[in-house]
Amino acid sequence: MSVATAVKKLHDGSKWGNPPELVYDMSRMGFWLFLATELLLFAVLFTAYAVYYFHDPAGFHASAHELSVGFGAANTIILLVSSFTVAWSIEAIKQGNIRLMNILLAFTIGCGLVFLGNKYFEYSHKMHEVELEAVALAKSPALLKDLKEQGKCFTNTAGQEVCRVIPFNVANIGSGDPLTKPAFASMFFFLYFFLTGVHGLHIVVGVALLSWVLIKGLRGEFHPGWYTPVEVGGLYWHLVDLIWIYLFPLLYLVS
Amino acid sequence: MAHAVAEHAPVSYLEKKGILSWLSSVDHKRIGILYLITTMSAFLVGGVFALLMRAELARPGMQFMDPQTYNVLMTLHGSIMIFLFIVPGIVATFGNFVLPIQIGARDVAFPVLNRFSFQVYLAGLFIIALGLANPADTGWTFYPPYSSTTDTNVITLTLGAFVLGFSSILTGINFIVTVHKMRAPGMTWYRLPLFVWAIYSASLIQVIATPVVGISLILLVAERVFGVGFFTPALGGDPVLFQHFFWFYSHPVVYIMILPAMGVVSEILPVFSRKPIFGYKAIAWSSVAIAAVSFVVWAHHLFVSSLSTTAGIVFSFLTFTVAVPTAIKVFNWLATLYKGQIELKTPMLYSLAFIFLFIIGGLTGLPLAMIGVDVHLHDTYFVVGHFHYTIQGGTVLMMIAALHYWWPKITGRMYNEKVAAFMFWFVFIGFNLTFIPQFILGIGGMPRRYADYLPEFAPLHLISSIGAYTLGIGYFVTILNLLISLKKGEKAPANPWRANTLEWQIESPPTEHNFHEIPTITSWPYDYGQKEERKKESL
Amino acid sequence: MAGNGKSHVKEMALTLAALLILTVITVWAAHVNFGSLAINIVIAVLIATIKVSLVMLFFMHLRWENKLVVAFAILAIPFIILAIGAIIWDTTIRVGVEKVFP
Repeated sequence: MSVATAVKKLHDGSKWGNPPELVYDMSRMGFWLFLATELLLFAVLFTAYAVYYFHDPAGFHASAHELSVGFGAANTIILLVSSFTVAWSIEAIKQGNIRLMNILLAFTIGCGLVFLGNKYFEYSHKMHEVELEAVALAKSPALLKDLKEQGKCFTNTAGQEVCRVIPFNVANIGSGDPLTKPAFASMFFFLYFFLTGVHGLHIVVGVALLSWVLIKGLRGEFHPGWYTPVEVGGLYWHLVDLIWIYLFPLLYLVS
Repeated sequence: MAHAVAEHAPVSYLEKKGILSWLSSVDHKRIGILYLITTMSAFLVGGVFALLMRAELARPGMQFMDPQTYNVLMTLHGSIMIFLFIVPGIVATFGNFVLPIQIGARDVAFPVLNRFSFQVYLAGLFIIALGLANPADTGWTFYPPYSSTTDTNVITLTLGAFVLGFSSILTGINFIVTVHKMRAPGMTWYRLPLFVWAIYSASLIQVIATPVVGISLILLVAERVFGVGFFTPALGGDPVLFQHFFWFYSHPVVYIMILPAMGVVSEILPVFSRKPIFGYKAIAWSSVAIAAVSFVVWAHHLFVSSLSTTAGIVFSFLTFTVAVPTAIKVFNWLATLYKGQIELKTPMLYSLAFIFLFIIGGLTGLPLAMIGVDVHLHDTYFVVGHFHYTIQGGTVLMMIAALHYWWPKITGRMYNEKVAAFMFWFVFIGFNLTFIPQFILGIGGMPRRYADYLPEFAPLHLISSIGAYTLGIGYFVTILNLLISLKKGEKAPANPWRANTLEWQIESPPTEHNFHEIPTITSWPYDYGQKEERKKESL
Repeated sequence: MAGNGKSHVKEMALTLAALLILTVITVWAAHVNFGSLAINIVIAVLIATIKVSLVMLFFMHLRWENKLVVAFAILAIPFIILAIGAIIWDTTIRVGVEKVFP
């Protein structure tokens, strides 16, 4: 083995004849444009949320009561902290601290996984029977009538009429009878699952993206002259944070 | 940034053979050609569906098919033409091939992303093809509640459209960054060819509008899969909401189609009238203005869908404003032609036809923008006529013009001018025969999307069908003529049209890296005519 | 490459602290009775917008970015306002304002 082969060749970041500074510039521009499309995508879902809120405000409040503010707040803090650590990792590599960058990236990925774990518990809770105020089901009269006939509705100690119902009943998918056997007990729960589902998908993609960056980082491909993938991966991770900042109050705190 | 490319004998970009070398290539020219092949194939398939419909509509009563087949054909014609042909149309084909060369770059900003967006396009095409076993019958607009209750394969078609939208977004991002960052030294914004301005504006719309329809289509898929009445009124949903989302994209999308066509016109007119383009800045900025205005007019599609009256009045007014930047372009083109030395070569014939047809298409849009008149004309053949005058008379004709104009550059061969010019008249006459009767039918109350009609509409429908077949022959022979030239055509010189834009200053066909040396730009590309002569004299 | 030299970790730590405090305020404000739930939602959205601006400015470096990147970063915002604003406006008229804000 000669000495020359032992010296690791640094990735200089140039691509197709473009120097690394230009690649760095273009990647940030292109990625921000991509983030703009993501923001518009979620804007549509928020519009839909607002429109259905206007159709049935009382039902939304009653349904949102069912969500656990504790879980939501915990996930908010997890995402905010992970957003900070990924931003810090970029600062670390700018200073040439590869070890710190790798640790921070790994920590961020860990936060993403914990978030997904929390989401799993929340989801599975909503796939089982919960107690819901009857007013939450006002827009699903056939389901409400059905529940009453089954004796699942009663007046609780606070004097409210409540029903035991499954917010997301997987068994009812494809039942062919969306009136009495709907998959989602109310529009709120469909929106809850759809919004957090699409957001969760972005978390999964973000974790995958950051893992790819981390692998490159562990291989020692980054240095203060070339860290564009870290920057881009970080931007993507901040996006899921941005979306969640709006999702949290709109879904969990409207009760 | 100029960068040295390994110096060896320059080879044409077409040199490497084999299908794998094409599919794995990140060369913008090759990707442009791949798009050209797929989009033109989609055009032929969609065209055949249109001809089948016109055959059925030639006479009242049902002759060749049942109404369900007609509905399927109508849906497939719309979806294939819109999602597979006309949206990627000029942007992805000529945008890919010509734009980087015109700004003096060796490739787009992200070559691998460019290849990826073509792969995504193929995936979308594949998903749509999967649904052909039981094709959708909803029309290309997928309006709920019907689209959530029909038994046909709506899911594959909407998913396919979503995936194609993704491809369109990636192409748009790529071009925007390319125009900002890859221009040759000296290539200032006001020295850019107008085609680049047009593609840039269209890319902006692609990036901003497409995600909106993407997620709406996914909501529609979710509605079908989970049986949720998200857009279905019987289940507490709001169908008008879908129409809002759908047209928030689908109105701007017609400007994704037409802006590049306007860009091609702005390239061809000065070359074939040997005059500088008139009102460069006005044409350039009107492209951006059209892109901006296109976002505030969508609700004119909802005039009869229980849109609130207040919103209707506002959107009616806003729709009129689109006419302003469009008219600015038309006046500037006419001024460019004025006192020019006009050469009636095929690309020029198509461009002149474009101006004529597009004026008709644009002006028939104004009555549709007035609420009162639209209530009468909504969902009649008048809308069909208007749409085809703008999109077929506009974009498709310019796609054909661009094909002829850049054919020598792309393939290195000259096409047969006589056949091409002769077939132009088939296309032009056939086109007007097809769609002028449709305006009259629409005013008479003939509803669109119907497989059958009352006997009093029969003569006009027959004329329309005859026109459609004339048009079909015109397109078919035109494309055949181009394909024959691949084998039999003369070798094309580097600059057969004596044009000034950069793509004509390099070999035909271009070499792999476009330029041997990145040029430095010192003037705009439209110094034709007198200035040209003066330059020659001074030499 | 751009941004070499000065480290922004301190600003970022302060940003995180501000974000956590704002989260606490969001949860607290949700439980205060302002007379109408619509007001609660408007307040929550306003606080969220402040938080999002902080994330974009500091975590996503927009404060130190060149103008072009900033322009693309905020490109979507007017269109988001347009879509949400116009569609909600139309819906409130269609559904009836009095039903929305009782």
